[in-house]
Amino acid sequence: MADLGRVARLGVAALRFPGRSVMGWLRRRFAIDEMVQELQETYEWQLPVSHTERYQLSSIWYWYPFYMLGYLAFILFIVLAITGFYIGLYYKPSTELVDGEPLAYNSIKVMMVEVPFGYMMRALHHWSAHMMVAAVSLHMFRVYFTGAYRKPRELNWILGLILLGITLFFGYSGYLLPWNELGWLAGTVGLELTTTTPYIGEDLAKIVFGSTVLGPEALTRMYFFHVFLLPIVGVSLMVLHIVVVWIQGMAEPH
Amino acid sequence: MSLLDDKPDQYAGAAGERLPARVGRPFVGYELYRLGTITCFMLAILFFLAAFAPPTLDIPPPDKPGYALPDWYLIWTLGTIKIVQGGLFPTITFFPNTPLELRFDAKVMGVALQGLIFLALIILPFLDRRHEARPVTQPAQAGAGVAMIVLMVMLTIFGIRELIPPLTHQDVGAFLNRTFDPFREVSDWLGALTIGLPVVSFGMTYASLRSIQHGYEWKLNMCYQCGRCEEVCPTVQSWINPTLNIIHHTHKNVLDDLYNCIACDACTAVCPQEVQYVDWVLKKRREVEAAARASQGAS
Repeated sequence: MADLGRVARLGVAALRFPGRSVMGWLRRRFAIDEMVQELQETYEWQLPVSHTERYQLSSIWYWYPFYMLGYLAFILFIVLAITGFYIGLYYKPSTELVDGEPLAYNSIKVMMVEVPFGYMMRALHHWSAHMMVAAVSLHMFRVYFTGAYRKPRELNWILGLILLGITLFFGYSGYLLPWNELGWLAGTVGLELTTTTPYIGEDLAKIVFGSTVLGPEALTRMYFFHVFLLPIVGVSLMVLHIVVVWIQGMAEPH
Repeated sequence: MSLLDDKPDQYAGAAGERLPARVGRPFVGYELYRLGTITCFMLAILFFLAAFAPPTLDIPPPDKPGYALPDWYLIWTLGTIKIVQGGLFPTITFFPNTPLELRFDAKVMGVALQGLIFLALIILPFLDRRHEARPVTQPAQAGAGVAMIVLMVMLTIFGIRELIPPLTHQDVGAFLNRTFDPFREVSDWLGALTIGLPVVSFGMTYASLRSIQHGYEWKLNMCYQCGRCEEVCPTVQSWINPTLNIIHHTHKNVLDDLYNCIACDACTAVCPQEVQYVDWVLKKRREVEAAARASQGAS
């Protein structure tokens, strides 16, 4: 009976965290037994069986690298988050001029030269960003060519497209942050393109760039997007994307 | 309660046995190693690149004009605007002299083109109702995908044409502000290539995938080496001729001993992909015999 199993599993949790231990102390205050049981049930929930599992296949499948790309994009994001955390400790999002240079630019110069491992962290952040865009694009191509966007994975495909847009916007907002010539001019082009949107162009530019000209508000807004808004939205959607794949299983074209 | 309702009773094993509650490979002993290996390789490449090709910092912006380029993955957006400015679309004004006036010029059209590409991708799974499949079984779709990738690459090149010396023919300002002249623009070879090369690549992909869509090799490639045919083949199992190796033939393209197959069709009966091995063997025997007859007749 289900209840007997539930009781047995609760018993297991109780045995694993005896009363006179630290975990027992927590158990008496928080619903840890129930949480452990939920986790066990989730872990044991039968997911779709892949061909590999059902037929116990062990041959070398030469398309395998194409199926690693999603995971690659995810770990590159983690690398970006860690390196971004480090350089975020030293970056100053200000266009104030200090010795003729904007403070943002100067803070990056300082980070590259004086901060321990700053050079390496920035270089890693730069390359992980490019690799991540490449990985998500190639991942999208693989999903397209194998038809893995079809029923029942339509919503996951749309989720992936949103994540692609978030990745590109991540890259674009990060590109502006050094406030050097390249970033500033790219920002100008982006602002111009935003303002050409019919009817809502100027309002859209004010939302995305903070104003209709490229200035300190644009830097603040891009920094906020890059460091707070996009990470929160991006991580949530990535987790959702991966959970949906976990629930539905990998598409197996043949 | 399977979400994939076209795979009934997927928790039964292939031989009908009940699979254990937790199938697949263990996370700690297998998956972590696999993921860890991939991660280590990726980190190694990243550290290598970071050490030997670090990012630069240019001089900060004074008020001087320059050529603005976003990162490589956004240059195609420049391309969409420039190719539309190439004069294929004249400026249309909707609702002139009203509050809803909309001047649909080349720049707006270029931005709209980017949105159109995204929109096409979004509605794709709702238009395409088939099952997931290998690209070779859906040549039109594969061709469209290749054409799209080629288009993106060409738009990227078109977006930076002023920087490629052989492609530069005028300065940026004049290029962006030139007047509409369809004959001159259409004769622009890079523009024609940007539109023509995707079409050509679609055709090439479609043709090459269609050309391999017949014959036994085509069906044989459906095999994913589950080994069930070998388990039931009486010839293989009775050791009369262990070289009647169905799977070996598939991937090494080696001719088996043709005359040991007894054409019982047990292999097809168990094959998940319904590969018709017996048909192939009998056909090959006919070919061999016809060749032998022909050479006998000739001599």
